[in-house]
Amino acid sequence: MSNVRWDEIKRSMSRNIKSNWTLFKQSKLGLTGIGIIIFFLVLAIFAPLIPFTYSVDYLAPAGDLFYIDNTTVSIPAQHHWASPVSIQTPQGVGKPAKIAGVWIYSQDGVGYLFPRNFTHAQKLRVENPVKEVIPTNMTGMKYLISNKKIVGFDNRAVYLYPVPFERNGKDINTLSFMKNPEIVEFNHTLKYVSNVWDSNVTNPTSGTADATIFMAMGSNKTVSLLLVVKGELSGIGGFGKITYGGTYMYNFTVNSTIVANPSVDFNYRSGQNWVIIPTADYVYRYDVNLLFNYTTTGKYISGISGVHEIWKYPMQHGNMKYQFVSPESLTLVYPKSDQASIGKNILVGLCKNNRAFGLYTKNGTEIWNDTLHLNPSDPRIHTLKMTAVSPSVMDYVIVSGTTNVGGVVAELSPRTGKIMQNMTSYMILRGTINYVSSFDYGSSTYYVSTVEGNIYQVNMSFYTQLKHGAYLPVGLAKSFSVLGGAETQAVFLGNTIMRGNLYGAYVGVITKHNTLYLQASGGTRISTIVVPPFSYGRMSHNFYLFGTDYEGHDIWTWLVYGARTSLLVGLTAAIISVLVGTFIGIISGFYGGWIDTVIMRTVDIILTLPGLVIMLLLAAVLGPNIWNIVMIISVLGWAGIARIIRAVTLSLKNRPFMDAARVAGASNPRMITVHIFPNVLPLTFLYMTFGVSGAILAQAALAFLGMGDPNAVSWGMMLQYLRMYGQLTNVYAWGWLIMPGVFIALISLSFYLVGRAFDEIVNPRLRKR
Amino acid sequence: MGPLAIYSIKRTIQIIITLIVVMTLIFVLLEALPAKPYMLLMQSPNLTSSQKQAMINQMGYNKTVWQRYGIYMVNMLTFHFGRSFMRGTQVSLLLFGGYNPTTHAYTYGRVWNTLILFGLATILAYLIGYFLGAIIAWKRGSLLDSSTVVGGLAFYNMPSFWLGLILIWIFAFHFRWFPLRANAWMQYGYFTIAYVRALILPLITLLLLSVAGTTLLMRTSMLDVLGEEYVVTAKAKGLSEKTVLYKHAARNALLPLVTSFVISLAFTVAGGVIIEQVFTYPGVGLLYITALGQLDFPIVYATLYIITLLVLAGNFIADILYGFLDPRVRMQ
Repeated sequence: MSNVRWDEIKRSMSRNIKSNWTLFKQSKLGLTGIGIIIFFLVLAIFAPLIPFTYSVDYLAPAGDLFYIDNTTVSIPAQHHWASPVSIQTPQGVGKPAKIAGVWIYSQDGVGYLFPRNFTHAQKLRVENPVKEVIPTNMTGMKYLISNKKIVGFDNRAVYLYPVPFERNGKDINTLSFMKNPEIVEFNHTLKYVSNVWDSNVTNPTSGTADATIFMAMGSNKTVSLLLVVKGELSGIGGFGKITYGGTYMYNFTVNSTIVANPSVDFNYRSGQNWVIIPTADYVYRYDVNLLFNYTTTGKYISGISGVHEIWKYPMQHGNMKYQFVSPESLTLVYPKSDQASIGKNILVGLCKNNRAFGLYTKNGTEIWNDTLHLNPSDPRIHTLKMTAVSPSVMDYVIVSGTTNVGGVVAELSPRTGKIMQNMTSYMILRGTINYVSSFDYGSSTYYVSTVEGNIYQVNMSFYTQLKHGAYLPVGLAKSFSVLGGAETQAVFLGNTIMRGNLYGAYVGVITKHNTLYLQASGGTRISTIVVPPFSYGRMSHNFYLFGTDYEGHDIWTWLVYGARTSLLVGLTAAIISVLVGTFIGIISGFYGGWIDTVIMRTVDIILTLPGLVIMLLLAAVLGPNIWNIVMIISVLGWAGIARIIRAVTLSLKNRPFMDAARVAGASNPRMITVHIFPNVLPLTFLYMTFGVSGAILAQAALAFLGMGDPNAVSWGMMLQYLRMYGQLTNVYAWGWLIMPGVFIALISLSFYLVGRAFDEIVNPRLRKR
Repeated sequence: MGPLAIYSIKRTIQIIITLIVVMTLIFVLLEALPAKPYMLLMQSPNLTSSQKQAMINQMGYNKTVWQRYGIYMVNMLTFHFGRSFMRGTQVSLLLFGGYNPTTHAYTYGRVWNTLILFGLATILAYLIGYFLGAIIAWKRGSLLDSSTVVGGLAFYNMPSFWLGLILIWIFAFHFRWFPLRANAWMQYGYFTIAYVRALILPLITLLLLSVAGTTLLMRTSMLDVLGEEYVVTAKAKGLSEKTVLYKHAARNALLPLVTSFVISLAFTVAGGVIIEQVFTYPGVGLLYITALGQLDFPIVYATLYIITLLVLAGNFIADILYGFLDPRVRMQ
């Protein structure tokens, strides 16, 4: 009996399929749909055999990843290269400082000035270096933006090299290095050099700007001050214009040996021109008395008349003798954001044994004096040795040092002397730190370089702004390793900016392979790390059809494996919901009565539920697992189908052949399986095809909202990662942006097209007349 | 009492039952979550145990499930949404806007933001869909028809978030015509230039996606109508093509579009999750998904309640409207 029935069904089905296929073939869109489905089926089934695919877990080696903008320039071999110096255009109103060139020098007495090539507008490219001869054993060189000068110092003299720009149209095209510097010689060794005050100070009487350089050098017990002034006073009615200026020196001695770099400030208006001198026994503040010449239209500086001590802070506390850890162990912070502390500049000193203190520069009052601890303490860290302190983020100073597990950078509040009580207030970095840049507002980061040649970008782009306007660091944004190791410190050079947009924040370093290496790190457009589509990995020479993502996953591989997830979820969810829906619909329609009422009210409730909102809730409750997602989609999907199948069953129930069957004595199950089910089967199949496309879209949406299975590669998840990592604005990641969406749309469309073509067969009314 | 009144009363009772069932379902689901809201907040090591207990008490987790359920039902039905666990603000303030006494600023209600965007999109989509669908059905088989159908199908099956991302990529990132994120621009008040600029891109995305659906719906409905005899009669009478199209055919084809429109209007608040997430548009959907991630139950409850209420009301209105428009339904 059962054999006969099965034969009967088989025969009628094969007949149906044949006749339907002839009808189906007429629909071009339907055939296209079938074609696309076959394409995705091939991808899903033969995933490992598809060309250019790797395994799902494949990560492109770090060398392949395209640090989108870095450049290497060969430089002649020299013995003692020093860190690169960035030449920048001065900051104007609404115009941030831009990199205009790079100056590198060696202690062997040569330097190279690399003008920036502006044809790569947004990138930093330097070429055609000009060789310059400079004195040997230059211990340090700095670029002074306001004065457009490079200041260099060796043991005996300070050299001021003007570096004028020539403007050509919008951009600065030529840089030149004046070979004849202004040389200020001192008759003693310049061991400790202060920060260089570099500003266009407004002359309070005339209102014009004076170019001023002020710095202090110390050696043994002698302090040398250097003041360079240049300005103009206009006379009455344009007559008697006075050009003034000069280079003024002043030497004085203190009672103790200088042990760290002094610190200077030059405030013309308030007359507070002072120098802080850290010595072995005291920290001194000396104010500088200026000489003025008076004219009918105003006054101008004509020299230094002397100094007088304002305060001294003892380096001895009880029995404990404080010793500065390094020349860079005294730093000055200008708390600007807090109204109450304006003008209350704070000096932070770092001493041996992690002792540190904070003073007001105004009167030398001690604010705090404490041993530094990491807060919260890290169980891995047993030894902590803070070695340098540098002003970094507006209100905070960055103290850096070494631990038993690596370098450490930490944020110290100059007001309390505490390392911020925050999970992310300090960071352990691999290697020994040799440089911490100041905070770059453009990229909201600061840069740390290590002896081993690692460059760390410490991210503050997601900073939390506290009530008093301070920033808290969040974590490591990126790290780079310099190929071959770094010869010098990797220093922050500045930004490239075009039409007000920050393109890249650059770090420069001289490598052991005699190259100048420039790496874009921050910035919005060019610094992100992916392999662009249609390119070979530079290290492995693997081909990446659609590039890679942020972590190095091959996009094409993920697309291929994503087809598995999509088809699996789509097909199973559709089959389950259609089978359940059909079954319940038939039962409801066939039996009627209270069964029908209960089922239909449930269907009503499910249909009134806002789909995605409830799906999210269910996914959160059940947990993101692929089978849970299948279940969630099916739970919400069966109701609509049940309602339609019920309506069809109701109409079938009243057909004459059903009455005939009943009269012939057919049981209810037989009537359902033999008479009703084959008749609703085409409809079931139709809703299944539509269901697949719906389920695929739902799964993609869930994955995009972060509720997808993290262990199954899916296209929605790829797009979620793209958004999560902020790679939408990465022009090189277009393969990553476009392809997953195209694939979702195609697969969903293909099932939908098949469904439509099939719809025309089931509902002949839709066919063309 | 007329048949429509009886029908309305029956439907109202049904809706109330549905509402209670859905609310209970939501409560059960959120109770079934493995994580409890106080767990996130209690991770802070600075809290003492009495403070932790106070927090649990404040969130009502010292009560039994049944007590919590009772409080939840009463509060929702009387529109007392309470305060957000994570933000501390009144949930009704977040949803419906008003003067915020803690920040001393006017808060723009998330519900209105969503309604403006999605309401506008729905209305426009149905207007465009009505005319476009009517025209392409009339010119069936023409190039316009086939290209619109293919284009419509493509958009209909496009993931909305991806389309949003692509539009952001092109128009907000490359051309810089619109802001990358909408939320920063929404705080200056409604219908300022900044507001409109932030609104345009999500609106276009929604239009592209939903016009496809409405056009195809109208086209199918029109094709049904065009097969009827009275259209042939109207043509035979020698009426102008425009008259036949808009007076005889399109009006009768409007019926499924109207019901679908009302239901869509009801779903506007619910539909926002994904588009609002993509554009960071400060609407109910974004609030909901953020709150769900933070286990901010008062917000989750309130948003789900509002959404369910609107959907049910929309369905009810659609039913009644259907009765008005189609006498055949009324007779049943």
